Amino acid sequence: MIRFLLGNFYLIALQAGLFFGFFMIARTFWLTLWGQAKNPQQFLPSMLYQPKQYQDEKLQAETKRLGVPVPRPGEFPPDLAWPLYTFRQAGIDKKAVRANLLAYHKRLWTWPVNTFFKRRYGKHRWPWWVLLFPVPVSVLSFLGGAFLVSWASYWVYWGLLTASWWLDHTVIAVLRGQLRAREGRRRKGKHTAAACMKCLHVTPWPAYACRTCGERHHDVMPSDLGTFFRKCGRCGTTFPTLPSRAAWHTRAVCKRAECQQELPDGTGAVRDIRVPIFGAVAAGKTRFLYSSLNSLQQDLDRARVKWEYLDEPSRKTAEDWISRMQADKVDKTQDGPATAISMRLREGTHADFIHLFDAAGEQFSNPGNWTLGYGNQETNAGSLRFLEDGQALAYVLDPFSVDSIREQAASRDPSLLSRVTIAGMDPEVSYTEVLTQLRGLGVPVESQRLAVIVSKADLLSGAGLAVPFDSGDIARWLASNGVHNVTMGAPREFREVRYFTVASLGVSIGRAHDPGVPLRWLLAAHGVKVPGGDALLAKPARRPVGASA
Amino acid sequence: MKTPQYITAFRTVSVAITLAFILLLLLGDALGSLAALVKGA
Repeated sequence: MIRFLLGNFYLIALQAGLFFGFFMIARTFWLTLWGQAKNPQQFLPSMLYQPKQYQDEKLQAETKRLGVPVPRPGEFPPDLAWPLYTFRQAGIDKKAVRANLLAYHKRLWTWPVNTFFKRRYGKHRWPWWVLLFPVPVSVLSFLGGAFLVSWASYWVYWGLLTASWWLDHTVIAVLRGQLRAREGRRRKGKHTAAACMKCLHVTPWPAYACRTCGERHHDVMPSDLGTFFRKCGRCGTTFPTLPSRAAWHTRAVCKRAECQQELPDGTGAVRDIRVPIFGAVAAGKTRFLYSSLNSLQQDLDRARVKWEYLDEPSRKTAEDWISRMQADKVDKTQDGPATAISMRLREGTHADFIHLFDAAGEQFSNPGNWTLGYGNQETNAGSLRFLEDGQALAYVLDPFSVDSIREQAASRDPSLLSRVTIAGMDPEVSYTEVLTQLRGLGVPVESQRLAVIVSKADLLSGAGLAVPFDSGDIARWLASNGVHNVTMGAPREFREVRYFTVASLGVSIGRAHDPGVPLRWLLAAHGVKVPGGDALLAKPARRPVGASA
Repeated sequence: MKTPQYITAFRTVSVAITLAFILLLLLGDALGSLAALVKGA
């Protein structure tokens, strides 16, 4: 046995060197990646690729690509979040381990090389190779074994990280693309584009502020900053990617730098339907808004569906107007900023946000209001921007502004006209005026639904006129009374048009002239589950707009 | 700045796989050599 050992000393040294190589690579990993080096001159710890570096790198690349400094006004820099390990950190770690292992080997090989090959410790080197032959052979066998194992380990490690990088750039990149596409389809079908209740700005999704430090994240889709989760670059808080998930773990904030309004939980994840109401001065827009809202609320209460106003101004305004309307003390809407009433139906992920917009009729005739840009005003509430971002439109038509109908009513009840406030503008003119502006602004009205609401039906019925209930009958009735532009033009312009006759007072839910029916139809057409009412009218004729196949 | 947990996790997993793989090879080699030694003796 001893003879075997003495005869094979170089093999034993080699075997010991192999295990020492394992120790070397393990030590290098530990001291490099976990930064435990007592002597940083010998082992440099791997540097962390910081979120700020990622941000700067992206900005520089984009500046170079576009040839102009970015971000430009109105744009956002990349979010401050920790990038994926494979994005840069894996490469930095590989380099650091390689450099430290190389330095370790240099230190280890210095004495043997100087002694056995360079004559640095004596005049002659032949004694080592003649008299002490087993020593250099053993030492070099030992070091050779260590070299073999440590570098083999490094290349295994390099291969692993490179494979992870490749996997991230192929399979996981496809997965991220799929997640984005799926989210996109969901968002389109569910109409989740978020509206700010303060400035009425609509974006695909708002900015999401970290709940710990408040850092704004403008794009939480899966990217280099995380596939399923994202880590805030300022405080390290982790939250899910995708607006549909991030909305429940962060605070939603309006993206506009001038606004920065905090938005309700779930903004950008839940259905968000905006219904602008337009029509001539004194057509009954405000009465319709609050009576339809009141009808919807009663309906929701009856079905025990939880609802609430999304903000305090909405609650105050709506409660005030509903009480005034019930007391029949509705004044003309003041010529000022548009009113937005925002409500949430249901809670959590099944919630639906509804925004109803009402502006004084004069606003539609003021050309300056059609400048939908933000300009230098603090908010755009005074403009008619809400019309551009609505998904469905409600056009209120005063039947008394139609000559033929007015004359019929007057012939049956001569005192009626003195008791009615009649819209000052021809209904065809007010309709065409708004539609022309919308078309000019590129608003895709062909994908929208229009509810043509004939107001004051109770007064017409009171005068003894036969007011139709069915949508087709109402259209024919209007056409026969000379309202041709609306009845003939609207079906060609819009995806779907339905006609309603409504009364604002003394109407039971689900009964004839219920003002809630047009609103329920518009909401149901966009996938909002509204209880009760006229099931036939509330049911969409086709698949909701934008729903995936 | 403290190293984020996901970076530590990535490092731990990649290093653990590397070392486990190499250790298996080394032990296999050592056991094979030992067997040869015993046989030779």
